[in-house]
Amino acid sequence: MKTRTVALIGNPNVGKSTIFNALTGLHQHTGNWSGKTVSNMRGIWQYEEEKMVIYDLPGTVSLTPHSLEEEVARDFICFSDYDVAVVVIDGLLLERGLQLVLQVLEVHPNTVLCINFMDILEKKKMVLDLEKLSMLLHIPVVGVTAREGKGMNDLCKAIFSAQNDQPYFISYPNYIEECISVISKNLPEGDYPSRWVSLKLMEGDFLFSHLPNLNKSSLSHVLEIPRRVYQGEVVLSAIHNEAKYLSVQVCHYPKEERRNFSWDRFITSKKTGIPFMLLLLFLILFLTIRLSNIPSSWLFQFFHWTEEKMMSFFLSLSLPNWFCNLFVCGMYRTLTWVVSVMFPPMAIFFPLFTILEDYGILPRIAFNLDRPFEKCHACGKQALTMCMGLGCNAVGVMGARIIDSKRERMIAILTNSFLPCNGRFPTLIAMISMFLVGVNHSLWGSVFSSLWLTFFIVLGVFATFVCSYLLSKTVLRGYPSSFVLEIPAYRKPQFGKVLLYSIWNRGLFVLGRAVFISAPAGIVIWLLSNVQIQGVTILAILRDFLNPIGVFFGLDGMILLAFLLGFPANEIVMPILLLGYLSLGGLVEIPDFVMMKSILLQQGWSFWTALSFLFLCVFHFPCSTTILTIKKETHSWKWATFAFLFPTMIGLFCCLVIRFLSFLF
Amino acid sequence: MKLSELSDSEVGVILQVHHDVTMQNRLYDLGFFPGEKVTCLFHGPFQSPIAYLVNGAVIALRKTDADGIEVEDEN
Repeated sequence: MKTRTVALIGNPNVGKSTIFNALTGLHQHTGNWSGKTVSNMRGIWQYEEEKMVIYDLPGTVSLTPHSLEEEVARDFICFSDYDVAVVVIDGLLLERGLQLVLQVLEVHPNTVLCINFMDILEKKKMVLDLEKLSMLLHIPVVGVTAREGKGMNDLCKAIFSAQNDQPYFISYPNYIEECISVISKNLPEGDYPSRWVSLKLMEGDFLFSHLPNLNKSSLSHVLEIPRRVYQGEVVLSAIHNEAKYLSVQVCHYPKEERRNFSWDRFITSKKTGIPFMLLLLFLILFLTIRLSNIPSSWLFQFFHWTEEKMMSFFLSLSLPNWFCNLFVCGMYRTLTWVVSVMFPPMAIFFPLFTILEDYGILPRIAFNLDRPFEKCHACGKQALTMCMGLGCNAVGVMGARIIDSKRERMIAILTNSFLPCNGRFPTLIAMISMFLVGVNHSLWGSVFSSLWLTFFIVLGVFATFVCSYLLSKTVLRGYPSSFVLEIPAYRKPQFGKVLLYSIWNRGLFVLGRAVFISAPAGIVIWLLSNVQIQGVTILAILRDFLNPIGVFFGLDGMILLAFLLGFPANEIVMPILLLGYLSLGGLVEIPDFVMMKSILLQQGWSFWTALSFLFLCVFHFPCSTTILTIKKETHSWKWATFAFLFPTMIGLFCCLVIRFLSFLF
Repeated sequence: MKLSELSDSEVGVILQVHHDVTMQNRLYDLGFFPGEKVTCLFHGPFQSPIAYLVNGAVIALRKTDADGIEVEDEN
């Protein structure tokens, strides 16, 4: 028997991914904003005896796509082979949801309607007559509260037994109906919704990539008449009126209730909007720095202790000396360094960020920052990709799909790495606390560290503005297009779930990366620093080669080498740098911050070197994963190369300026 | 009058949407349909974008885009 396939369709931010997760047991990221899911996710769903394949599509307002991720959804809905369509709609936005339902029904009759957020409806004392709606539309209608898992059983049953081949036709004015019948008679044979395709052809949308055997010239005589009489408004207005009629029939509001917008007014007003966002950023960073000190020092001590034990154990086995060194001083040390210093800040920042995302703060940030972006000829939704970039630049680059205009999307992709990702935070924090604040675990120490970190992130945002402007004046010339952003109602974050999933999932991910990237990196760096050519280690040769360039920019060869070797993952830049210095200095201990600083000072570091290092850390090529994502998203190595060189140039330029300043003071 | 001319908390009824077809469709899809009631909710820190309540949803538009929507003042 053929495996049945199910597609989850719906407006943006109605909880499709939450339902997907509930059905499949997967942990696809969810968030309270439009555009969280930008690609089709596939999962397996086991119901009773049968296995089904289920697809989670990006949200779409209608079947007329306006951005890339909506096109992904439209293509799937209209041109893919699947058995059951599940249209998820927000019970509070019934009318708009029904517009999409009506459109989907024209294309795919076998549909189940799932109405989410029944709990909120109940709280607002709104009554929805699901049975009546089901009768009117001739399809099963199920009400659920996805985040609590309520109603999911009914949904499962409805999907399982869905079996409708009677399409629901919206009745258009007669002359449109006549045109439809004339055009569909002339359409080539094929497995596609001919009524819908006819309507699209009338609109002038030829969908050629999907209908290869459609011959434009053979259709031109058929299309001539409709083209003359057709008005887009007529079709849309028919859908609109039908949805309105349906929603009036089934929905009973107790009384027009006014939502309270004073909180929204506060965080978006002229006086308080921007300061509020800065304060929020500062608070998250403060908590990250403050809370990560503790587990960091525990892990540090623990690994230090185990390293000694492990070394003596290996020596007692009388394994060759070089092997013990390679394994313990190279691999194990880098690995544990990444885990103890890099992991805690990442593991704490991420859930904090996710909680804010769940709450619905991200679209408000985009709302506040749209005007500056417009001034830079870019799109306010870039603020959303920027925020995602704080977590991971590769995710930020992919998230740029929500931006409608291709040019503005490109700007968002190319400037995303100006926001330091999670993997760069720990490096920034370590450097800030060593050279800018002084190693200090007191409350004020953390406050100053977070202020500095906030400064560097704001600097990244500033650079994003400047570079977006520069790009749109040079290689990506053009004017700002429109900006339409939906601002969702606040939703209470699911604290428990967030903590569990982000620490568990994210923790596993980071630890996995630590094993797969930093362990080999540790081996490489150990080999580089121990294999000698004519009495000089390879590391020293490389460092000496890069040294003149490094010194020119106020850095040194080892720093450049560390950044280059850290290309696979930003987390390993610091460990590589330290191991490099340690092996050159002949030290074997793994250092804490106090010792680390003295090692760096011994290597000729000053306040200015640290400052240059920090700037370079914010402005340099993104990691290899991000570069590959850029290649994938832009379909061009040219842009990927540009994304590599562009931030690097800016970083090196900043270093030059800092070097110049250091001469002045 | 233009939609962008509504002050916070004022209500208007949409008369016509003057935009190119793409943008017009987008606005129709989101509920900015002739005859619909729109409430202006709040302005951004730099006076643009502006958030509107339409058909139960809060949608933010740039001032320049809201300029293209003609409304009738309900107040």
